[in-house]
Amino acid sequence: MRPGSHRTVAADPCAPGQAPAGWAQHSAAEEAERRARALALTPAQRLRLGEALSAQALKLLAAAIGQGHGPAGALPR
Amino acid sequence: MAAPAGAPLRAQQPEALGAAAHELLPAPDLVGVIGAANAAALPFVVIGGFSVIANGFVRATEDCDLLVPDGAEAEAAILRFLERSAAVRAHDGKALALAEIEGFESLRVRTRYGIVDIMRGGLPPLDFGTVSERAMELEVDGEPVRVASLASVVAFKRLAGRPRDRLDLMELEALHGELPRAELADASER
Repeated sequence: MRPGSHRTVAADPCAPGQAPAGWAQHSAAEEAERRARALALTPAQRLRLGEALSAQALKLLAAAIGQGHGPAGALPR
Repeated sequence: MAAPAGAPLRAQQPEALGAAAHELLPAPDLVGVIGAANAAALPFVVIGGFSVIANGFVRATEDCDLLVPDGAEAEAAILRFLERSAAVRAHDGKALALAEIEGFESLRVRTRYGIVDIMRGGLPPLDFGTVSERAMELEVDGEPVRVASLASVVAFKRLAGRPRDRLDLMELEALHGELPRAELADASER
């Protein structure tokens, strides 16, 4: 049984603080690593990372919009 | 030449910091992750930053977040995915032990496709079944992929509650209008 699964469901299961303990630890680890990386990057590395991330983002968003998802304003009229 | 004491961290030992930064790279390769997960027959839903992007708010993200189901079959598939993606533990670069994969809630691994966070579902509506059922079914570079719907993204972000999650919610609301509210889980079904 997943820890916490027996407890009474909170009035809002998505309210902050309701996350499983593992998720909270993961979130803290992710934030720490992101800050460390941001601090350590050289300008050239930042540029390369930004270009790679942008390409990924556009590819994904194009797929979502092209298949009918995404914000209403982004869909062809 | 060594930077004077008290200089900003990034000004100190630039070669060492450059090497450390390189260890923290490469940038996430979403299509690579999707391909490896599909090849491993791992059921998954893309959540996190890429799901925010797919729902219309384009911003940086530095890793791939996957939501996966519970169970032995899923764990076997996770193992296959980890092998295919040459995964090691993100915090120390060591190989994962089987015991770490059994019953985990979240795993953070470094792979040939960048950093991947693998998370099991929580309580409804953030359980794998609900998130998967509501997910957008997309195809990216020929690879089928489920990406979390707006409702699931909003629920995850409200749960996390970090400053950038709140920013994501503000931007998504500006794009979509009033955001979906999470449906309450039915306690009688437990």
